[in-house]
Formats: sequence, C-alpha cells, structure tokens
Amino acid sequence: MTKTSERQKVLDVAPVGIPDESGRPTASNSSKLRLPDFRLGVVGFFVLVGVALVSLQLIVLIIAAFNGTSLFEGFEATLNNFSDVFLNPLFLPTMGNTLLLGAGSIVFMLLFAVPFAWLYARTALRGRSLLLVLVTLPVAMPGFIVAIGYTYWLNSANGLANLLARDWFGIQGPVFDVSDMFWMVFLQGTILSTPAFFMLVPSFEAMDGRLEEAAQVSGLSRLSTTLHISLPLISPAIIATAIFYFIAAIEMFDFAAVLGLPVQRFVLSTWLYALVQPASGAPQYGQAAALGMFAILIISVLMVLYLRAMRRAKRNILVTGKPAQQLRIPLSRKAQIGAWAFIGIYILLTIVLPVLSLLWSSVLSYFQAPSPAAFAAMNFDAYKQAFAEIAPILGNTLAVVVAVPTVAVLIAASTALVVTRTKSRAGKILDGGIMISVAIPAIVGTVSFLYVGLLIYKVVPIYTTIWILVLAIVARQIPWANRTISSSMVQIAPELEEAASTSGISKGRTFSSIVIPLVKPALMFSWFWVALLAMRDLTVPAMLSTDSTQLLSTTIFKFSEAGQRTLSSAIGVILLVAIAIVVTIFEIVVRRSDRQSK
Amino acid sequence: MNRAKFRMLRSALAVGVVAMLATACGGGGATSPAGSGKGGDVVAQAKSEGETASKNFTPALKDLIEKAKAEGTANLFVGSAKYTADQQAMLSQAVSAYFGIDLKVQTQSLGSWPDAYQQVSQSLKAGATPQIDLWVASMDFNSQLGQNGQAASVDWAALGAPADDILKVPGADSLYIQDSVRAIIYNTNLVKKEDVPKSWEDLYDPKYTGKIASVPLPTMWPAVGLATGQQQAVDMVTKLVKDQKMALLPSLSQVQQGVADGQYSIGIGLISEPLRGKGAPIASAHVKTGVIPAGAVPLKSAPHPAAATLLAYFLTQAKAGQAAAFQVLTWVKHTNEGTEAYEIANDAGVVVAPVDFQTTVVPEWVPKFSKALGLS
Repeated sequence: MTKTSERQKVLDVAPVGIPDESGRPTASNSSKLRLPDFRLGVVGFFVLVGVALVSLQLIVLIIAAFNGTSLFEGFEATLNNFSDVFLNPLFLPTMGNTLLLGAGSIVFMLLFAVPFAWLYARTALRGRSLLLVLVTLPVAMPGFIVAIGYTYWLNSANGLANLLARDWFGIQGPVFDVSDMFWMVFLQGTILSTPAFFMLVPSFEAMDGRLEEAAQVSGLSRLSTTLHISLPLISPAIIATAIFYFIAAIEMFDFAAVLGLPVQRFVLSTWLYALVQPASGAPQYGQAAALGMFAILIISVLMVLYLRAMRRAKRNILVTGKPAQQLRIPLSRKAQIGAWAFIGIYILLTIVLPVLSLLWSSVLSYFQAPSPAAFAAMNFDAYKQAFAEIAPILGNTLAVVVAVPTVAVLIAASTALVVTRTKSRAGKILDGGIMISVAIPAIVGTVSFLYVGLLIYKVVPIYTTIWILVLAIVARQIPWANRTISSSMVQIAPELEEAASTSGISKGRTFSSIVIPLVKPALMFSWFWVALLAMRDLTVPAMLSTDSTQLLSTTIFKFSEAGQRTLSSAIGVILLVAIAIVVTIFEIVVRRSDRQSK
Repeated sequence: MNRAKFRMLRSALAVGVVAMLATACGGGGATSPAGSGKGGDVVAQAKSEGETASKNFTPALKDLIEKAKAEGTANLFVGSAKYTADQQAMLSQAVSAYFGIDLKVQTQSLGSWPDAYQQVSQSLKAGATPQIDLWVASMDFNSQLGQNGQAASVDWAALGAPADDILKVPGADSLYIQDSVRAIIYNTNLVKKEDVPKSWEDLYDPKYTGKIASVPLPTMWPAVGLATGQQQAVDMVTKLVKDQKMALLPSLSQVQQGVADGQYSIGIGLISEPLRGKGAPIASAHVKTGVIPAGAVPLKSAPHPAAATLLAYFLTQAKAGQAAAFQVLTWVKHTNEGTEAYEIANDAGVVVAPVDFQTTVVPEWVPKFSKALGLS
C-alpha cells in the first residue's frame, strides 16, 4: 500500500478532529480530543506489564545474588555467593565446557547454515524453494526430543548405529558414544542451523553480485573472488549471527540435560539447574543468581559485539543493495547433486533419525534392535495410554499456547511502539532493558517467578496455577517478539503519523488504525513463533509446573525421567503432531487474511 | 520481516506441516486395550477383604473413614515416579472397594525425595497449600518435617496399626510403608549367568566400564555402606565414577529402564520390578546390601488429611493394599514373601537401617559421597 493511499485511508476512517475552514478544530472534535485516549492507555498498560516482568527478573536476581540467606527469611548482604561459585571446583570445568559447547555449536551451525544460505540466495540451485521447506522442518522438533532420539541411535552399549556398525562392518567396540561432548556440540549446532539460515539469507540476498562479477572479469579466480570479495562483504553478517547464536547455544538446556547430565558433564545451563534443584540439601538460589549475574555480564558484552556487527552488516548492505536475482551463480550438474546430498544429510540428521527412533521406541516395551522378534513385539498400547494422559493436560497446554503468544505480542507491540514511534529517552531505556533481559539465563529468570509466586501466595495464589507459567514464559519471549515487531515498525515512515496528527487524530487511534495494520504480518508471525516456542519450551515449565499444571512437554520429560520410555515416546510423537497442527492453523489464518486484504 | 519473506517462510512451514504429519502419523494404528486382569484382581481382593475387616475396624478408623469420605481425594507423593491415569484409577478403585466409599487417589510426582522435600518445605513456609496430602520418604525427611512442625500428628495405634509398623520420630510418627532396597540389577541378555555380580567388588571388572548406571543421589549410598562399611562404600563410589565411568541418570526408574533397554549392563540402587514382571530382560543380583525403610505421614496443612491417613492405613495394613502398592507403585518390603526384595534378603542378606540412621549417620557421610559422585 502506498503512503498516499494509506493517508487517504486514515482520513476516510478517522474523520475526528479535522480542523474547520478557519483551521481550528470543531467544537465537537475538540471535546473528543480532550477525552482520555483509551487506546494509548492500553499501550501504556502493556508497556508497564512488560517492564514489570523484565525488571522483576533483574531485581530478584540482584537481591538473591547478594543475599546470604533465603529470600523468605530476610536479607543479609554478602558476597559469599560469588566466592562460593567462583571457588567451586566445578566452576572452571563448567566454564570450559560451556565455551566449548557455545563455540563448537556455532562452528557446526555455520557449517550448515552458511552453505544453505549461499545456495538459496546466491546460486541457481534447482528446487531452491524445496531447500527452504526442508531447512524449516527442524523448527518443529523440540530439542530434548531430538536428544532423546539420539540416545537410542548412539548409546555405546546398544545404540542402533553401533549395532549396524557391528552387523554390517564387523566392528566390535562402540563406534559412537552419545555421551561424548562432540555429540552434544554437533547436535545442538545442527539444530541451530535453521534459525541461523533465516538470519543469514537476507544478508546474502542483499549482497551486490556485480562486485563479484567485476572481480572475475578482472581476472580473479572464483576462489580469490570468494576469499577477497564475497567473504569480506558477508563476514559481518556471519559474525553477528555467530555471536547471537553463541548466546542461545550456551543457554540451551535440552541437549546439555539429556546428554550431559548422565555423565556429570556440566555446562552453564545444567549447573544452574543443579544449583536450584540439587540432588541433596537446600537449593542454592544465591549461588545460582551469582552465576546468573556472571552470565549476564558475559552475554551483555556479546550483545554489544552483536549490535556492532549488525550495524557493520547493515552498512555493507545499504551501500551496495542490488537485487541478486539475475546474478545467481550457475551450478554444474555435479555441484547440484553434491548440494542436494549435503541438504539430505542435514535432514537425515535433524529429522529422519530422531523421528524414526521416537516412533520405534514408542511401540516397544523395552528397546530392541530391529529384528523379526522386535517387529513381533511391537504394539500400540502406549498410544492409548498417551491419549489418556494427554486429556487432562490439554487445557493447560492450550492455555499456554494461546495466552503466552497473545500477551507476549501485546507487550512486544506496545513496547515497540514506544521505542520506534517516540524519540524519548524512556524509549531508549526501555529498548536497552528489553535487550538486557535476553542475557538473563532462562533458569535464573524462572527462579525469580518461583520466588515471587511464593512470596505473594497469600495475597495472590498464582503459584500453583498455570498463570505463573504463562507469565514466566511470556517474560522469556518478550525480547524475541519485540525484535521482530520493532524491525517491522521501524520501516514505517513517520509522515503517516504526522499527517494523522495534523488531522487531529489521537496518537492512540493513529497506532491502532495506521501502525498496527501495517505491521500485521510481523505481529502474526511473532504470535505464531512464540506459540511454537511456548509449546516446545521445557526449561521454564520443568521448574515451575506442578502435577496439576503439566504441559505436553513436561509430561514427556517426566515420563522419560520416570523410566516410562515407551509412553514418553508416544506422547512425543503426539506433540510433534500438535506442533504441526499449530503451524497449519497459522497457515490457514494467514491465507484467509491475505485473501481479505486483496 | 518484509511481506515476501514472510510469505516465503509460511509457505515453507505449511509444507513442513504436511511432512511432519506424514512422518509423525506413520507409526499410528490400531491400539490394543490397556490394563490387566491384575488390577481387577486387586480390586476384588480389596472388596472381599474389606467386607471382612470392617467388622473389626476401631472406632477411630470408622470416624476416619467418614471424614475421608467427605474429603473425597488423597494426593499421594510418589517421588520421581510417574503413574498413568489407569494406574491411579486402579489405586482409587482398590481403596474405595476396601472401605466402601468413593476415594480418588492421585499420585504426585515431585522429584527425588531431597528435591521434593525442598519444594514442599518451601511451599509450606510460604503458606501455600501443599500439592500432596500423604508424604512418603525415608525417616530423615519425615524427621525434618516433624521438627519444622510440618507433619500431622496421627495416632496410628488407635487406628489399629501394630507397634512394629509405626516408625517413631518426634513430630512425625509414620507408618512403615516400603523399603528402598539398594540392590544391583543387570540385563540378562548382556550379563552371562556366570558373570552376574556376587559382590560389590565384582563391579570393578573392566568389562563393565561405561556400562553401569546409577543416580546422583549421595543420600542413597550410606545404605550400601550398611553392608560394606561406609568408608569402603565411599571408595567404591569413587572407583565406579572415576574408573568405571558410571553414568548418573536423573532417576532410579530411568536406571531401571536403561538396563532393561540394554543401554547399560548394570544398574545400582533398586530392584528389577516392575519391568521384570513385564517381560523385560532384567533381574536383581543377590548381593548383600542395605535397606532403608520409608514411612508415610500426612502433611499438617494437607487439604485432605483424613483421606491421606486412610490411604496410608490401606497401603500398609490391608493385604489388598500391599498388593496394590506392589502392583501399581512397586512398593515392597523385604519381608513380603514372593517378592524380589524377599529373595535378596533371604539369599544374600540385608541390613535394615535403624530409624535414627538417616538422622545420625547419613548427614555425616553425604558430603563424602557427594564428592565421590563429583557433585561438589
């Protein structure tokens, strides 16, 4: 829609406050202008809720880190939590493992994401749209399900891969051992490739292919062109993506918990978990908070580096923006086959293998290698049980999947409005605060909600309800939703609002009638994305859910922890189907919305 | 995100959905009815046993039944185990049939005993209503609840429980409900008959390197120390972790499942039921070990104290209750004939921890086991 037609639309739908011929607002309109702006009030309310959720985590974190006693028993200023953490013999190995996990994951992530983004955006690969579809698939797989799936393939005793290596190649010892650090790093890296791909594609698309063409015309080889022209151009975007997902990688709990905890290999996220849910003794919330503050410090530095890298990446793109469509690099037949083989390996690793093992595991009472006896022992009893287990928790899951994205998007849209549509200092502080909250480790942030839930229980008994889960997950998702919506809002020219303002239209109405409709796709995308993440999330629900507030994800985890593998696998399969349904609903809604807008 | 990219992404996701549905539904199909005749047997047994026993119910028990009837529900703490709706229904039907009332039993999985104790204690301190009515754990936890005034005071004798079944600690007298037998289990496909461990030292065999699993619970090991000596047990754990690369899984149930699945050859900390009963290739090694009695006590501010007390009485005093506890919860005492725990006690011998063992000996040794397990 053009700016002119948008302005006309504003004038059509919002005639209040239009000045009369003398230039003054009409009497009726001026009285309307003096009325409290309800829409602005709504925005303000959600900004306040967002600020409360984010600051709550930071405040409780700081108090707990410097508190020598339980928060329920008062406050005793101390630095002991920091010394206890830093002098703990686990500190250095844990930090070493975390660094290795973060850096290693990024290496494997880039190993897949960069070639995929390059193939998609810069080459004439046949079936590019299929590549996009295939690379998107792993989004539907919760990390802990992938990790559990791989334990059946790669465990050293009877992992299917080891059994195949023995049967096919006669190798007696275990070839693979899922408890090796390598697998934690590799699997986490491959899973992160999907979001990294989406982050890199726009940068690859925005690269000016004429520079490469000019280099080759000047006699440079394809390798030299890549090394001296293409890579320097794209490297800021790759670095920014690497830093961003390094932060995500060191915070991820799923792989570290399923693959690392059995062999007591701690990383930041699992050590935090062990501190707040220790095998014996009281939870060490103070130490967890101190460790959380240390993590925030490190992550904040990385965030600054990320923002700088992003600015550099944008500079490169802005200067040389040019459609790359006509400049796609042709691929030979061999290269095409090689590229598709590479894509196939990725899909095999991220989708086919974990789903196959999950399905296999769900139909056998105890795990067996495929054999005639195993096929004879297959049964679907677990699915009947699974549906019986799911029925009572469906309401909780539905509440979370609907309420979390709705509240998170309302908060994120409101804060994005303040940040992008006002030039106030408060807007900048709000933006900074939201960015910092990315650095709060999920486990530490969740502990804040646990504390507050218990502290206010007598006044507001939210602690034992599903709503504390909703608020805690919302708090985790605000920054991500805010980034998506902000980046969309920032593209809207201010002239539209200026015109509305000149016409006497209130700010609240301008927001709701002009800005919000223009960023509707971003709002819908954020809603869907947050709904998906809420459905998959395990970190927050694992710590806050009680038996009466179980979700699909926690039920799978609990049954798995309780040794009921068959049942947990069956529920895992059902969760995948449920995620697929959420995606389908989203698609239908968007299609309908598109048809209406046409 | 611009509109073109947005369209691009959602189209991709849509195709993804179809693929996921196709993949995820691939394993579906007809289901066979769950549940077993055993459940029906226990309920029938409870009904007939209850009809006879009701003639001898004490006045306190009769009064309790009325109160429990009014409450209608009992939330039972079951550690980190998780039971299906069918299993919970079987417990409900059995206890209801025994007392002739409608009582719904809900199992509550809060995690390991130490973890759950912290959650419960914290909630009670904050004034929150506990999620559980009936607490079941070893007596050190019950004792701590008693000291904090968080356990209900129940006159078990007035209900008809014999003195031997009452584990006495200040403020939290509990009914003896099950034993934690810290046994060794093995996969019968992976461990040959002649190689089945006959002593704890047999676990040092290099062929078990990387093939032993247990849990990161330092409170579990002093029970093994009852049979081997505490310092010897600490040395053993150190060797198992360092030399034998013993895996530490999140729960004992997972250890059992891991051994049944063949991911590990040996598991430490529990017996092989209930998976052995389901045909899994798993059995217990008959090695002398320690046994920790666990007691049941209602929480003081429990929403259903009478129902919780009645449930504890049923699971410990009625034969049908013990059968239900075994079949559904796999709770067993080493004195129950025909059980694996009984066989181990008879063949190899067990050392039963005295009631004050966990309040006197365990706290002294837990830090050493914790270090040996690499937890501190």
